[in-house]
This record gives sequence, structure tokens and C-alpha cells, in this order.
Amino acid sequence: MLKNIYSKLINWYLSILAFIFIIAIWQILSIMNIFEPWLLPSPSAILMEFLNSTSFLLYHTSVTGYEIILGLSLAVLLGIILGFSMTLSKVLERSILPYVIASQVIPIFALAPILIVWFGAGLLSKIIVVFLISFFPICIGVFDGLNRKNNEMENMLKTMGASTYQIYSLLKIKLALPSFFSGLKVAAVSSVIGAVVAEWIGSKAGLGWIMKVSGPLFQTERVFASIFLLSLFASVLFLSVKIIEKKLIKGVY
Amino acid sequence: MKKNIILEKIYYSFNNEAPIINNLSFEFPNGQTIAILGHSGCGKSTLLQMISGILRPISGNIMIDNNKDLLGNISYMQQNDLLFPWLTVKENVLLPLKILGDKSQSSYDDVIEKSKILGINEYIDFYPNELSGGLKQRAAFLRTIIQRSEFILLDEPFASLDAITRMELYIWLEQLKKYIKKSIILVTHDIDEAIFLSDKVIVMGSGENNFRFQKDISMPHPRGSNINMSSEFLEIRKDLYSKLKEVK
Repeated sequence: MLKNIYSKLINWYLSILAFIFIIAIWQILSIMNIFEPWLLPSPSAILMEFLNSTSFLLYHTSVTGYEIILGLSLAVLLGIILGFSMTLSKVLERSILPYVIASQVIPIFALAPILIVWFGAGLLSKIIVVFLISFFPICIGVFDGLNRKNNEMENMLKTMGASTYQIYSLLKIKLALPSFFSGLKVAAVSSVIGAVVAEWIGSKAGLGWIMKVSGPLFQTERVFASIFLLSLFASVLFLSVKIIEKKLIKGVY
Repeated sequence: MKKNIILEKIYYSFNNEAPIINNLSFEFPNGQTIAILGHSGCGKSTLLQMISGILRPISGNIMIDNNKDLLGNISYMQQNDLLFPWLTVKENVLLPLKILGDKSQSSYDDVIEKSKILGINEYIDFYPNELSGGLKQRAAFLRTIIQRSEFILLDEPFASLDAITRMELYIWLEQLKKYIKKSIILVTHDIDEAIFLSDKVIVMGSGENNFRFQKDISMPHPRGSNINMSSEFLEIRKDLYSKLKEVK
């Protein structure tokens, strides 16, 4: 166990060293008053903000996290259903695909205020914005993945008497997993941006809201603390998807 | 009663080009191993795909007696092992039973018993990428014979293996025939393989009259590695070689 952690640390040592180096340089420059503290706070000031406002920051992280998880889950659910539907027939593909593409063409900054007018500044408008920004890569990932063919393996299952359902469950879904997870990883990171955009435009809580109200008050250490928490949340989400992917796609590549 | 595979005036061409299978009629009798020998591109694999039910002839019929429903009733082993890399050997081999919904202990025991005969029982929990080419082919063969059908189609199953492994598998297949009691249609371009394993060799060409020549192989089973040195074997070899040259 300890050996395992040690070998992982060795693998990551360059990244850790780079991080420490950047923080150290930043701190030294701040001590030397190269930057105005209200323009770029020092790492120690940001850390102090974390320590002084822990419960406040954690509450708003949980609000944003909740919006992301709900919006992303909805995107996964509908992305799979629509992506799968498009593989069933060319007619369905032609009927659904233009709307899937259109959902990405509309700038989210233009759409978010309308959604807030329609659905209010509460949770629902945030979930819809997160869904819209993260749905596309998942849907296309499922669609492309299910179109990935291995005719020989499919024929083999047919000669064994496999039904269409069995061909999907034994082969096609497995072959689609790498493409689905590529889409999901993009979506996981994008969903964080979606939540911040939605909170920025109209909300009463969340990390996006903190950034919006703290900037004009020159509470830049609070803005940076929020950015750090968002990055951390996105990284955890991305890594969680990667861990699940690793477990499920063993042997598919 | 044992059933036969009947080809009735079957016709097939790719993209409306010259026919590769033209008006072919034949009856594959049950209980025999029949080898179809021919040059690359003469339509051997296409014929097997039609017999398996994957491809449909443009005209004509293929039946198991009067049944035209072929998919699921004829086992088909293609050139590649086609083992699913994400499943263990055991899971791969049990696929035909899983598809049928057969979870019985007796079927499972039968698979384990046959895996012992095939010499892969020690590797049953391995993944395909942990096996040699020969072991993968054995696993694929076991998966093929597990399927509940009276006929097995083999499409150059040993083509990718080295000469020694190939001979091992010939001998092992000869030993196995008495256990599996199934009819085999083997497609190959290797004359020795065709003679070694079959009761009848058919020389195939493309276009009109696909089955150009038939030769019964009467040497007793199970055949051993020395049989390809016998005068009878060499005589048949010479004969088939000249027929193959004529077809080309």
C-alpha cells in the first residue's frame, strides 16, 4: 500500500514540483509588492480566505456541485437515449441530429438570461444550462460509439442465434464505451463552466455568484478561492469518470 | 434422423458483378468432414457465410432438410479467433449457452470436460491477450462446438498458425471428432490440411459449376502425424494439386 502511494508520488513528482515552484514564485513576488494585493492576492492570502470562510465557501461549493451533478446526470440520461435512438434508423438520425447540433450553436451566454426569465433564478434554470452545455459530447459519443462496427464479431453472435438485444448487450455497448467516456470527460469539465455561467447571470448562491459579487468589492482572494474550488471540483469529477472508465472498458481497446 | 445441408441452385455476386457462386447445388451429408479446397477469391468463404446464414443467396435456397432458418442452427468459426478481449476464456466459451439462456450445471460441466480434452482447462480464467495463438484457436473452437448444432463450418481456422502448432491442432481435432459427433465443413487453401482432416475433398472454382472435382478420402480416423508420409496421402495430394492447377 505504502509502496503503491510512493510509486504514484514518484510518477507525479514533476507536476508537484512545478506546482510548488509556481506558488513559491507567486508568494515571493507578492511579498516584494510586485502586484497590488487587490489585483492579485498572494497564495497565503487566498489560503487565509479558505481558513476564515471555510463554511461559507463549502456551502456555495455544495450549491454549485448540486447543480452540476443534477444537470450532468440529466445530460447523461438524455444523451444516451437520444444517441441510442439515432442509431436505430436513418430517419431518426435525420430527425434528431439537427436539433442536437442546434443546441450547441446557440451561445449559452445568450440563452442563459432567457432561461432565467422563463424558469426563474432557482435550481431549474441552472440544471438546464448545465444540461445544454454538457449534453452534446455525451450524445455524439454514444452515437459514434454505437456506430463503431465489428462485423466479424457481430456475425459470430448472429450465427449463435443472438437477438438484436443480445448483440447490443454483449457487444455493441461494450464497443461504444470508449467513445461514450471520451464525451463524458469533456462534458464533466464543461458542466462546471455551465454552472458558473448560469450563476453569473442570475442566482443567489453558488461559486459563480461569489465571483460575481466579490469582484466589484475587490475581494479578489475570495474570487481566487472560488476559482480554486471550481478547478478542484472539475478535476475530481474528471478523475471519477476516468476511474469508472478504467473499470468498465478493460480489454475493449 | 440426421439432417443434411442442401444447396439448391444458389447464386451470388458482389455488386452485380460476375457471379462468384453460380447455380450451385449440393448436399452435404451428415456425419462427415468435408473440405472445400480452392484458390483465394474463388468464393469459399462467401459460400460458408451463406451456409451459416450471415449472407443470403441472391437466388436459390440453402436448407437444413426443409428448414431455411440457418442462423443459430449452424456453428461457424471464422478465420480469426474473435474472442472478446474483455471476457475471460471461460466467459467467451460460454457465450453460446448464455445466448440460449442455458445456465444449467450439466452444460457447464460439459464445457469444462471438453476444455480438458482441448488442453485449455488451465487457461479458463485467463484473458485472450494472455494466450498464445494456438490456445486462442482452441478456445474459439471450443466455443464453436459448444453451440447446439449438428454442423460446424470452419473457415481456414488454422491459417494464421505456424506449421507445428497447426499439426498439433490437426491431431487434436482428429481425436476430438469422436467426442463431438458433428459434421464439419472445412474451407482451406492448404491441400495437406484438406486431406488430413476430411472424408471428402471438393475442389472449388469461381463462376459456373463451382464444385469442379470431388475426391473421397478413405484413410481411417483418427489420423496421426505420419499419415502425410504415406503413399496414399502423397498420391491424393498429387491428384488434388493437378486439379487445383486446372481450376486456376
